[in-house]
Amino acid sequence: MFSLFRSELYQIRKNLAVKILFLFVIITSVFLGIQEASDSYDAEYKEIGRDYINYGGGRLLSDMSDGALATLLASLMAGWIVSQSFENRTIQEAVSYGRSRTKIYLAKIIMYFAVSIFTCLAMWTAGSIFVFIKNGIGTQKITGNLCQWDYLFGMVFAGSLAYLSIFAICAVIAITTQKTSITMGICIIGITLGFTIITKALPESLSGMLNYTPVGLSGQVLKLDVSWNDIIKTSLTSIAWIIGISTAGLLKFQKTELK
Amino acid sequence: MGNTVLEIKNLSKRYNSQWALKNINMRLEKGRIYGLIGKNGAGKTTLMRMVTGLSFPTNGTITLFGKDRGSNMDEAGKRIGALIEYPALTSNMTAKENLHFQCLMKGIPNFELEDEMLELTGLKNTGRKKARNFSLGMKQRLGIASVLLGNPELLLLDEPINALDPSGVIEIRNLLKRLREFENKTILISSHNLPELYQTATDYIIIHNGEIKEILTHEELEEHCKSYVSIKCTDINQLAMVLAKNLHTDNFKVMSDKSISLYDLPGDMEQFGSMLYNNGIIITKLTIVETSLEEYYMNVIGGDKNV
Repeated sequence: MFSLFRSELYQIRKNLAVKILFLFVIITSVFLGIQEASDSYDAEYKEIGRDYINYGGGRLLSDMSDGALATLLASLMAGWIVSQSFENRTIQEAVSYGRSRTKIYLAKIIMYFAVSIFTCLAMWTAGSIFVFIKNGIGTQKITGNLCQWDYLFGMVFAGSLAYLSIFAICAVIAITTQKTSITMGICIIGITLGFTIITKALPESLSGMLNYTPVGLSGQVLKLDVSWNDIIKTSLTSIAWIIGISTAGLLKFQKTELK
Repeated sequence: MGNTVLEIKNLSKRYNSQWALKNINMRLEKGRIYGLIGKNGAGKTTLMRMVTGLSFPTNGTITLFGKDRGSNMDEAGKRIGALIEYPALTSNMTAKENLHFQCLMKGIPNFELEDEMLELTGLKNTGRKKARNFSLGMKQRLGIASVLLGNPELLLLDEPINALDPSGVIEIRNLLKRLREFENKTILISSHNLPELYQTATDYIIIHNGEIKEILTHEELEEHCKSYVSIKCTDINQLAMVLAKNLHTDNFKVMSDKSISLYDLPGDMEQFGSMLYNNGIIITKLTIVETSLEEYYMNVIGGDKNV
C-alpha cells in the first residue's frame, strides 16, 4: 500500500496540469487578497454591512463560502487525478500486476482528497492572510466566534470535511465514467446545477434535510456564530457521507470490467 | 502440473446476449512461446483480459502457477507481465520517469532496472523527451519495457509488434526468443503478423468466434504446411508404383480428388518429368504447393467467407 501511495505522489508531482492549476489558484488568490486588503475595500464592505470581511476570520469565512469555486477545483482534480489514470491505463496496469483493487482505489481516492483539499486550503489561506496581517482576526462584535483561533480552526476543519463529502461524489463520478472530460463536465455542471435545482425544487418542509447532505453541510458551519455543536455535528455527518459515498465507489470499482 | 503456468478450463464470457468466449480449454507450459491467432473480435484480447483480472469470467476457471486466479491474484499477478491493447503510459513523463513510476507502483525496489530495460528495448537515448511525443513504435517498446520490469515468468502480449519498424520487429523477436531460451519464460503473444509469428512461436492457438479451433506445436504445423508436389494423371495406381520403385519413397498420399501429393520434393523437376513419361505416366496436372501459416489458418477457420 505504501508503494501505491508513493507512486500516486510521484504521478501528482509530474502532473503539469495540477501544478499549473495550483500555481494559478495561489497567485490569483494572493493578488485578490492584496487588492482586497486595501483601505477602499475596507470602506466598501463596511458600507454594505459586511464589515466582518475586513478581518481575518471573516475573510476566511467569506472565501470558504464560495462552494462553486471549491467544486470547480475538485472537478478538475477528479478528472486529472482519477479519470486520467484509467485513460492512460496505469490503473489497469496495477490491477493486472495483482495489486488489490481495494488498495488501488484507496490510494487513488486518498491522494485525490488530499490534493483537492490542500489546494482549497492554500487558496483560502492565500486569499485571507493579508487581511489577517492588516486588521487581525477580528472582534466578537464584528466576527462573532471567529475572533477566536480555536473556533476558526474548528470551522476550517469541519468546513473542509463538508467539502470533502462533495469531492467524494466527484471521485465516484470519475471512477464510473473513466473519462477525464466527461468527469469534469458532469461534476462541474451536474453538481453545481444539480444542487441549485434540488435546493429550489424541494418543498420548504423538506429543505431542512438538505443541511444534513453534502449540499448543505458546509452551510451549517460556515457562519460567524458557529458553535462547537455545529462543528462536531458537521464533522461527524461529513465523515459519514465521505465513508458512505467512497464505499459505494469502491463497490462499483470492484465490479467494473476494465478496458 | 509442475510445468504448467496457466490452465484454463471451460472458460466462457458473455456480454449481454453475446458470447465473446465459449468453453475455452488450454494449458500453457513453461518455457514456450504461444502464438494466439484469430481475426479481430475472435476473443484474443478478452481472453488475456480475463487472465489478468481486468475482466471477469461468466463460467470456468483460470489457474495460474497451480493456484486459482481469483483467490491468489496478488501473488500470481506479480509473476505476470501483460501488455493488453495499449501500453500504460503517462504522457507527460519521459521514458525513464514512466519506468520509475511503474517500479514504485509495483513495489519494485531495484531502480537500476529502469536503465536496463531502456537499453533492452532501444529507448536509452530518449533523454528528456516526453512519452506524448513518442512515435507509436516507441510507445510500444516502452510498454514492453514496463512489462519486463518485474521479471515476470508469464508474459501476455497483445499485438506487441504493431507499429514497429522492421528492425524493431526483429529486435522484439530476438528478445522474446532470448527470454524463452535463457530465462525459461512463457509467452502468450497475439498478432496479425502471421509470418512473424511463424518465426517466433513454438506453439499456435487458433481462435475463431470465441472458440479455440486448434492448438498445435510448431513441428505439427510444419508437418501440415510442408511443400509437396501435387500430381494428377490418367493412372494413379501406376503412378504410385513408379514413385515407390523409381524414387524409392513412400512419402506420398493419394488424395480424394484422385491426385497424389508427393512430399519428397524431386531435386530436378525436368528429370522427374522425363522419368514419369518414360514409365508411361501421362500427367494431366503437376503443381508445387506450399502451405503458409496464413493458408493453414484460413483452412482451419473455414476459408475466406469467415474472415
